Amino acid sequence: MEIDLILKITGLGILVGIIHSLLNKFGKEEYAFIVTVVGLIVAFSMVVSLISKLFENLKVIFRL
Amino acid sequence: MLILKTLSLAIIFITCAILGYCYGQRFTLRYENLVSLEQCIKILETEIVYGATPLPTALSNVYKKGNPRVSYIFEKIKDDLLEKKRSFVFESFLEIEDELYGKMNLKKEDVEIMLSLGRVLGSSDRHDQSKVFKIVLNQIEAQIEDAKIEKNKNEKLYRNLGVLAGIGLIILLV
Repeated sequence: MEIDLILKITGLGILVGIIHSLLNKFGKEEYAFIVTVVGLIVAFSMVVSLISKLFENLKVIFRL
Repeated sequence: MLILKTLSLAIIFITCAILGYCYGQRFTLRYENLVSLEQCIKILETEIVYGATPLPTALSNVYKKGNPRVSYIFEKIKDDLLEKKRSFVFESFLEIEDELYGKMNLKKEDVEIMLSLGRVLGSSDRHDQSKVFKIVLNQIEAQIEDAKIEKNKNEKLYRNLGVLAGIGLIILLV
């Protein structure tokens, strides 16, 4: 398995968390929200190919 | 190859950190320049109201006594006033408007206050001008307070954000 990807997403998560709390602390809640959403999108774009692969495999396994 | 990669990542990180630092620095710069500007205007007030010095000499004195980072604009006003033989001091003030926006990081309100001083200087008597000086100084005081709040709020934030954005980019690129 690609352990690199998991580590990368973990790092991204920690970073987004820090930025979120930092922006919240300085009273910029709307930017904090945007940063969280952007982080989510980036993380999704990293795993979307893996998820599609998972569904393909499910289809094959259950003969759907 | 590894060295090249590390080096480029380090460059990206340092660039982001410096960008954040510079962006945060703008707020400090505005605050410091406003404080110096207030000092300069106070010196000018003393020269005009109590010393009754002619305007070019007064401006020149402000340049000598004030903080040189800000007071050079008064010398510029004086030079412009004498060289182009302006009939209104305000025209010379307009000449340095860009300088206030660009180099000194002042906001529109700050510049307007400065320009409003230019509208009155040299166009009425001492008594009248002293009143205007009081109003202008009051307004600048308020702007300084505003700049201080903004500085406390934003300076640290942008510095930290720069560093964090650098780390984020590195995580995405590795």
